[in-house]
Amino acid sequence: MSGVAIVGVGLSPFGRSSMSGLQQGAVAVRAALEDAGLQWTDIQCAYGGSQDAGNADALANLLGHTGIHFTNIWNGCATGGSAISAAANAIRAGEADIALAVGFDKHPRGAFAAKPSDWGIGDWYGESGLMLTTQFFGMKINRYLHDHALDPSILAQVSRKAYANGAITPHAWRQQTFTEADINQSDMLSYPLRKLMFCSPAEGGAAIILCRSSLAKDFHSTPITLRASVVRGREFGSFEVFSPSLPTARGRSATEIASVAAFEQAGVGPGDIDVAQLQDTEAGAEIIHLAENGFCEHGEQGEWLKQGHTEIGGKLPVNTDGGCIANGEPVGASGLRQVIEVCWQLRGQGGRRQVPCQPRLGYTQVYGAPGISGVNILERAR
Amino acid sequence: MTICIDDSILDITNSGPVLRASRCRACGHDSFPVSERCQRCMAEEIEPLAIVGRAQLWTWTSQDFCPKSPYLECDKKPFESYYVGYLNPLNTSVLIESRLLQPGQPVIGDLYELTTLNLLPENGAVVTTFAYRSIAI
Ligand SMILES: [Zn+2]
Repeated sequence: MSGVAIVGVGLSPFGRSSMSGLQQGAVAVRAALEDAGLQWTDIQCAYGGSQDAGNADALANLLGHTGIHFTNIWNGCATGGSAISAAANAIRAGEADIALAVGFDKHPRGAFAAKPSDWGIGDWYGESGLMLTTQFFGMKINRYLHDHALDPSILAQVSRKAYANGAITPHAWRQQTFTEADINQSDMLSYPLRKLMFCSPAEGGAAIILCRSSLAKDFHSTPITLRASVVRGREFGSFEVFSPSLPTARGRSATEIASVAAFEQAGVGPGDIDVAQLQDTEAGAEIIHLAENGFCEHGEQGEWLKQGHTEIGGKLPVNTDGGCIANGEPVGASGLRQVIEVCWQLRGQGGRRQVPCQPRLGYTQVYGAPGISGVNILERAR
Repeated sequence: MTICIDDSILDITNSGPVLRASRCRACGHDSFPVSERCQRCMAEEIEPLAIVGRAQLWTWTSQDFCPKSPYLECDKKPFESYYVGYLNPLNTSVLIESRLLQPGQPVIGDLYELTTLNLLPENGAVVTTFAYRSIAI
């Protein structure tokens, strides 16, 4: 995808805040504007989303009413992926030279409560004790481990890495490290997944400013080229949350489809990527997504973790800021946090968690229910 | 009084529980609950499919904390963990999500039998839903 660059990124740190969700979104936008050396009046169109913290276009009340088209976006946990893809497409279409993608959220504590009727399912499903996202994640990874002869101990390895990376990330919510033994002693929620293997709902904001590549050097000394930005849905038969039944024949997941399309758009392959952010709603998701994005074969993950390939300093560092497990998941902002972390890594601004050897190509993948995946491929401009 | 949780999905007969599903005449895809159109090929030629008897366990997990409302036993104390899974009823092309009834930890591939499970909400009602019971010895 030629022609679009990221020139400003900003985060309102994830976790718990006394600010409203909209205020956290505004903090992120102001930080991104400062990063790019731009003013709010320079933004020509905007795309944003939030699940529980209000309409994204209400940010104009805090930032100024400049008459731009501000599109509200909602695609579940993949909202950030849809926002950046839409902003990039606006530039590609010639609609704008400078565009904003923003997300923010502020969720109540505890697991998200879901209503069967919102999903087109009868009340019997929730009444029978089947409508829990945690069950879905447990059943999905349990079958995956079975199909590919993987040992459940890899789940604690992934979680340990997330907390270790979070502990050296100043803005991460979870700053405490845990051993694999600590993780394996935390409460079982849905076999084989324990409490410390899950991310939690959180608060925060994230904003990204994109521009036409030809202008990028005017705004930032190290622009990041967006080589691909793709959002895709699933095929019939993919295993998704809140399904009273599934066909016996599996279809390709949204992530498999989006990943293939993104690599094609960028003209690079999985072996070219130097640093990645993969959706880790729980530890099993990172395991599955390593293979679904083409970085390893299904079943190779055990060997990958044993060799330390996904650690900072490994051949493909994954979730260098601790991912969703250490940062929590403000749904509207989560996919944009992934892109921001990769931008910092490509610029060499990763601090103690900086990936060595000057990474050039980065990858992000966000996944949302019921089967939406957003993939970005980013490159440090030469 | 005992009531069926939803008689559009579950029929409790004298010879046992029956799940109300549907089969596509065009492509053979099975749906549960009944689908007006085939979810696979979108054809409208749908016939009823009664699911009874045995099924093979495809995957499973445990529910180790008490679900919130609308779970009918969300106020029951103490909470007892339960298992859920997806099972493939024999001679169908569908995996059904269900509560599992069994003594120990489930094993993928084991055989189960369709049965009923009575849920006891705070209001004193007895609500019958479906479940699969392990027949592995
Ligand atoms: Zn059909």
